[in-house]
Amino acid sequence: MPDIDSLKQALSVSPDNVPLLLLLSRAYLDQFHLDEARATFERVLQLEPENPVARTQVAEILELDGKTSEAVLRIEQVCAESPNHAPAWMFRAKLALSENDPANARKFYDRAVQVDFSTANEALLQRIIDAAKKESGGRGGTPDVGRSAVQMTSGNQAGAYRDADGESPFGAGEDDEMEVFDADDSGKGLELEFEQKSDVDFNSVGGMEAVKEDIRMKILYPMENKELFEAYGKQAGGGVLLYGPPGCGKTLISRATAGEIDAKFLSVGLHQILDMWIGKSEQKLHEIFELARRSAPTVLFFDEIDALAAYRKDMRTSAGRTLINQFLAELDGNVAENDGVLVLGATNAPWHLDSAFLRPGRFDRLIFVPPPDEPARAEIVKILAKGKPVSGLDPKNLAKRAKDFSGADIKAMFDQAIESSLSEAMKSGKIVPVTQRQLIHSARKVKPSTRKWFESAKNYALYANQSGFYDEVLDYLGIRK
Amino acid sequence: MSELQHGILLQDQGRAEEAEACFRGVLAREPENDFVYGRLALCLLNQAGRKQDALKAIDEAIRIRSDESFYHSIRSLVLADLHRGRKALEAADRAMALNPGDAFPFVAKANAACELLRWADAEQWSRNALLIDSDHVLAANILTHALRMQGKADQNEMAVDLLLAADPENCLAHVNAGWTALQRFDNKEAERHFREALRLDADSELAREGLLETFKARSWFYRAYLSYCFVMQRFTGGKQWDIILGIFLAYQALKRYLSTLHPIAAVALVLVWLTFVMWVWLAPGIGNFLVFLDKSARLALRKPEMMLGIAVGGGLLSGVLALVMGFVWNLDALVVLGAGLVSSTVPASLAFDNDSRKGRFLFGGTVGYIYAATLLSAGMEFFVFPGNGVSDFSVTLGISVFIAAILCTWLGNVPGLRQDDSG
Repeated sequence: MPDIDSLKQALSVSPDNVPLLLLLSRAYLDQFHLDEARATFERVLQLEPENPVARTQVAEILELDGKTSEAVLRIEQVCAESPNHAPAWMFRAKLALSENDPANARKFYDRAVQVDFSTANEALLQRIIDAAKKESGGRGGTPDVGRSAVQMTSGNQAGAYRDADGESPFGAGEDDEMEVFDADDSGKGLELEFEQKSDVDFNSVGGMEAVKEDIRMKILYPMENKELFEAYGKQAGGGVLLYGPPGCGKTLISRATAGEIDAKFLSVGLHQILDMWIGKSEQKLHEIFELARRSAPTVLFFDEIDALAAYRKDMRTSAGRTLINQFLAELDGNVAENDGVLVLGATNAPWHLDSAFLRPGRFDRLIFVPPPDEPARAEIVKILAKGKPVSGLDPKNLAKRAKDFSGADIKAMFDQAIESSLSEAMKSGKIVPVTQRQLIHSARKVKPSTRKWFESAKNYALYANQSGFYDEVLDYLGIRK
Repeated sequence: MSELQHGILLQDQGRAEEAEACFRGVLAREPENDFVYGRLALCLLNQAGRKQDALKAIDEAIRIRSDESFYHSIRSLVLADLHRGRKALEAADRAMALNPGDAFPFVAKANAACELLRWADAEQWSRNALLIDSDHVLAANILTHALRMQGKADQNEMAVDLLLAADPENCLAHVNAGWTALQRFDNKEAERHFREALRLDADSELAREGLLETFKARSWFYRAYLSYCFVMQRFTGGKQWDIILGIFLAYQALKRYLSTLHPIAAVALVLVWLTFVMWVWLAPGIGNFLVFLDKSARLALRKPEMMLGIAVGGGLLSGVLALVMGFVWNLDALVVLGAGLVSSTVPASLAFDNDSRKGRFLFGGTVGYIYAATLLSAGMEFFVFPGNGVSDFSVTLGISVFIAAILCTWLGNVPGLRQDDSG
């Protein structure tokens, strides 16, 4: 969080900058300068009377000031007028709890989480549950809920919630308007790979430091400092395109990016969208984006995006074009807001993408994922060697000899070496370990599959690089123009 | 999405290898699907060295459904690419008989005519195709090509303008426009069109070759060679042979006549003849060498073209330098080295950038022999026979080198030693 003085300095130049004013208000709040915070929030409301952030924060300040009733009134108004502002619901839940109304507290809490999962607060939830237990214990016995409430907890573990007695703490007559959302079930219905929490992060990915740094600069820092970016009129999030030769870790690094920002990972393949029936593909695509929005923060990863986003002139049928138009509309947020949804696309053929996808606000950030560097190759070698009888393994040596190899090429190298050891083992009837020498010999025989990709990429980088999209490819190939 | 849909999508994007994998996946489940065989044939046709496979695929499609005109048209295209022009014409005729109202058989026939260097016929049949389907891009492209090859400059330019107006994003149209501009030696315009073609399709080999020619045409030396090529290309293969033979016979007759007048005149004519022969064979290699010397232009060269440039241009330059220095300093070793290097340039011009495997083997072997003989002779002159004039040993080797080089100028005209024989 920037310091108060620097924010004031920035405001002196741009006094009506609402994002800056909000930043300053929060800075005051953090330091418990309540009066100054309130005054700054009020200033925001003068400029934007409907601003739900400012209105919620003012209510919170009133509550801190001991003016709970006024806070309740204000927050009820905010919830009615801005029903998709999750912090308002969360604060309302806190207020309900403080007024010994755990049922409504739970209702408001669930609503907040439904709108924006990132607002989930484990500690508050526990307090609500405890309060509900106390209340229901006083009345004797727990009423039958009628149906199980399947909730998303702040630990990202979807599952039916029950208290310690296996009962739901709620009475009958649960508010029908409150939908409970199961992202796992929705993902399964669409046959998608949906990870509640990515099991890898950057530390799990060996090497690829240049790519990781590129991702930090283009994705992570903007997301972590969203307000700063908004103060400059820029939006964090949006779309990022990863391109490079096949089998070089685009999917892995996307999953690791989700892990870094502690977001859910939703991986979408071509076959999961495209449907032979007219209109079904567009519907599926919309459902996928909706799932991502409801589960935010989410990394929505499209593999082989060149098939979905192909150059529209290549499309023989209008059906293909309407799907692309739908995709563009979803990316633009015309259908619904994409806050908290990071769209990553991976492709081996970025030159086949319709240029409309590369415009600002869409996939306007490109990250070149080259073949794994030496440290990454050494890591891949270690991973592939695990659980196999290998003697005298020297991953660094092998990594040096496997220049330009993709992950698949390194696997092919192992497969060849294993074939030869296996045939010896079958003759001798005992385990014959794969030796370093065999792996080196195998490395000489395997031709890197990335070379063919680079032949095409070089052509596009030389002749179709007017916008500079492929500068990184030129740098990688050492071509100076 | 079905695998077939995916394959078609990939094929539309020009991703032939990936599309092939999809189509083969479909055929594994549906081995009698003629439509997929047809698609597969087109995929294979667009991949280097896969033309025989393309022929097998389209033959399968025809076996399953022999009355489909489209398949016979594709077969014609494949046969034309395999340099079997007459068979290609027959296949196109069969397609036409099955569906006389379709433009594609005419396009296939025009394409076959191009393979046979029958430009007037290519023009006629492409015009017929356009009468049926005025938007047929391939027909329009073949027409412009045929007009250009006949030297019909005005009509060609008009056709190119129409083509570009109809589809400014067509790579092939820009390639044709580029060649049209190059033919009138408007290098700047030619480069613009070839670069635009490459922007539209960076994998287009035709566009890259055109751009390379534009770079080479920056030198007057290469422009003169291009003029000769543009004149010769108007004639069929048979007529070209007639012209070359005619020139050779005229040279022989003139040499005999001049030798009766004055021996020096005859020697001068021989030198002129040798220069002409060398120029025709060496110009492309020298052009590549000049492009190689340009830091940014050299990026357009493929590795074999680069090696051609170095072997021919570099060989000629270093050979001439060695010869001059040898004569000036009276060093026989340098004279021998220079003569050998200059002689090596002729087979070298046929060795590196040759589509024929047999040709590469033969001419590459000849280059190897000449280099070895030259090094051996130069070594002998320097270490064993210094200062005694060129030895008999070196003279004998030199004569064999000279004969090998001259033979190459004749063998280089054999189509089987220049055309792609990998299928």
